[in-house]
Amino acid sequence: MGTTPQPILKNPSLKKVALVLFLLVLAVTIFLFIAAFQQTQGILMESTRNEGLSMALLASQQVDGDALAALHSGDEQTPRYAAIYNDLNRIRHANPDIFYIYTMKRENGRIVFLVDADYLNPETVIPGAAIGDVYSNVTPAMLNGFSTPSAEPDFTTDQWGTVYSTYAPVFNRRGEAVGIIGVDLNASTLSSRMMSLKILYLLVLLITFALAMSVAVFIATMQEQAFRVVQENEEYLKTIMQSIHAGVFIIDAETHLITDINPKALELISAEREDVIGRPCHKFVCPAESGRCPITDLNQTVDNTERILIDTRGRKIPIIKSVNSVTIGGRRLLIESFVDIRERKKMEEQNAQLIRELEMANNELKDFAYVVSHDLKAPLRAIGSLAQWLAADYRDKFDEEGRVQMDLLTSRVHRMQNLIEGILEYSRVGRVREQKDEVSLEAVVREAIDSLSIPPHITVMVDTPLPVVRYEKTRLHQVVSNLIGNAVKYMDKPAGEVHIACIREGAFWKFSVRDNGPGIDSRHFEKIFQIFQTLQPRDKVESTGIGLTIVKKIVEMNGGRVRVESEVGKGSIFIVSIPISNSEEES
Amino acid sequence: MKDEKPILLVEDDLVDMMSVKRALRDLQVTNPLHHVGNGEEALAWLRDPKNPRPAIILLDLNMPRMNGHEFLAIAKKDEMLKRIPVIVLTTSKTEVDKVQSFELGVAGYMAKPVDFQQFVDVMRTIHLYWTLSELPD
Repeated sequence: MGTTPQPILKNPSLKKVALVLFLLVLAVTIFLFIAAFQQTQGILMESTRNEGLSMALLASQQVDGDALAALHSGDEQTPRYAAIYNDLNRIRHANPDIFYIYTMKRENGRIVFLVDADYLNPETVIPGAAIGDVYSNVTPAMLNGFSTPSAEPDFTTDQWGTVYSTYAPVFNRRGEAVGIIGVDLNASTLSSRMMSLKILYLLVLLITFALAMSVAVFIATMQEQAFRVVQENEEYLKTIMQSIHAGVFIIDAETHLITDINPKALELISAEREDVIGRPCHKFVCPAESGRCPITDLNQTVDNTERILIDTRGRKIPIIKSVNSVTIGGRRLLIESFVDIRERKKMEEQNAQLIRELEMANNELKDFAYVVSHDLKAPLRAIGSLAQWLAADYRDKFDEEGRVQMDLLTSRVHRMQNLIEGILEYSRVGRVREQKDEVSLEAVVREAIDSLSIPPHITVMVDTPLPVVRYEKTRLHQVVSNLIGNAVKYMDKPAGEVHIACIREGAFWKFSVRDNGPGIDSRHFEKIFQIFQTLQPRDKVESTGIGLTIVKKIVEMNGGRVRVESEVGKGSIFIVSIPISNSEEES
Repeated sequence: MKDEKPILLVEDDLVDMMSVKRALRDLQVTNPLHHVGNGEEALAWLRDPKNPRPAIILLDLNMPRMNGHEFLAIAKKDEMLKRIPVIVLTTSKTEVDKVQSFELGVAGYMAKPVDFQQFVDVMRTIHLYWTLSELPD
């Protein structure tokens, strides 16, 4: 993803630099440690040297130079020897660092021992030197010691072991140097100090190194972890972007450059990722001009809005788009998500086309109804008139059969007129909508009964109180008078009864017209509501067969249903449901 | 009708014309009946100074060349003709036709019944009304 930060150490050159830096720091640290160690070692050596020198000086002043100069081989058992010997041992015992202490003189160009503090010591492994024993490992520092206090530059080794030697001249009473006094400091003490110093420094170095390493490892681990989190987040984001079924653009709000895009969006605009990233969105995927961005310039909100997406071939794709403006890391981004609605558009187009076609068909049907009303009625009326005139003008010229035929002709003209009027009425029910009013069903039923001129052998009874309903008044009148009219028209009993009732059932009024007429076979229950369907020959009962069709249409257009229950010979009941309106509910 | 002014019938259907003629005969209306087949012919007849001014015009709506509404639109703007009462006599029962007719200043609107006897009744009503009603000269 384009917005993902680069991992800091992923870059190999950066990694190399870090390694070199680390080694450099390590080298400097080691160098500093060595320098410090050497400095300390120097100081240690210096202090040892000073200690040795001061010991040698002190000892040289303790020893009687004249007595020392007078000693000769074989004097080891003399009191003079013992006095010096004891002096030396006293000095040695006063300082545990002193390993050996002895006196020497020059004799015939050689260095020979005089008093050695170990000569009489039974515990020494290597016996001390006797007077006149020649010392072979003569050093310049030793020779120097005959004139001034001096020290060996370093440890020296002879048959008595490794020591650090310092020397000071021994003077007689006349101030002449008669020999030297040598003080050997214990090398093992010094070296053990050196060693412990070394170990200490090494330890500190190691600890420092270990600390540095662990800090480095810790940082590296943290960084690795952070990197992994970044990677996981990246993976997470990438997976989400790839699996959303909507197209997604991420656009920098300042520059209007596309910083990210998901595969669905690429598919929609038929482009490759490289062709899109870093390009401005306007005049590319959006038809808006530069500086006229609907979001940033015109302050529009785009939320589930129909927009246009332009693909790389310049085709316009209708989309539903939402744009969210977010700020991430101080950078304002526009997150645009959109879905292709071409299919939907196509379907809408098809639907619109269908509706247009239906409207056309419907209009044609309306025109057809008008044509029927006028163009069919005019000749029909002419036929009717001419038949009547013939019957009137030539009455005496027709015989009985001729007159019957003329009457039949006239009645058929009337029937046809009724059929045409029925069609017109039926088509008018759907076409002309009236205002719905609060209509008293009671009043409508009364009017219907009055207008129907009920024959005396039929009684019409209203069994329940009738409510006020919300309906188109003349339509309700049509329904009621059709139902009562049918009950009366088809009545076949000498004592006809028509019962009218209205009861409440849930959200509906159930208005019913019940008669004790001929009844209807259940297999005709559907048929009677179909247009022009009659159950009796029209010559027996004059009927267009459109009344119940109109009733059904009116009732259903007003949100109700009409149904019939009947038993042949016993009578029928027609039940019309009328929705109870909200206003009624409130009152 | 009061005097012997003619009645102008504008009607393209021959049987309908016969119906009017016969109904007037049955009602013993003696005013002469002039018949023209469409609006154009009606205008020509009315504007011909040789012809007398009719007492009333019976007008069909659905006619060839110039229909009833077109005729009315012209006649009611004509100073000479606009005061002659026009009664529409038509098969059309549509609201649009009725509204348009009254907007164009008709004096009455009658639907032609299929039954001739009923038609005679319609004609009787028209005759009766215009016998009682005063007309401008």
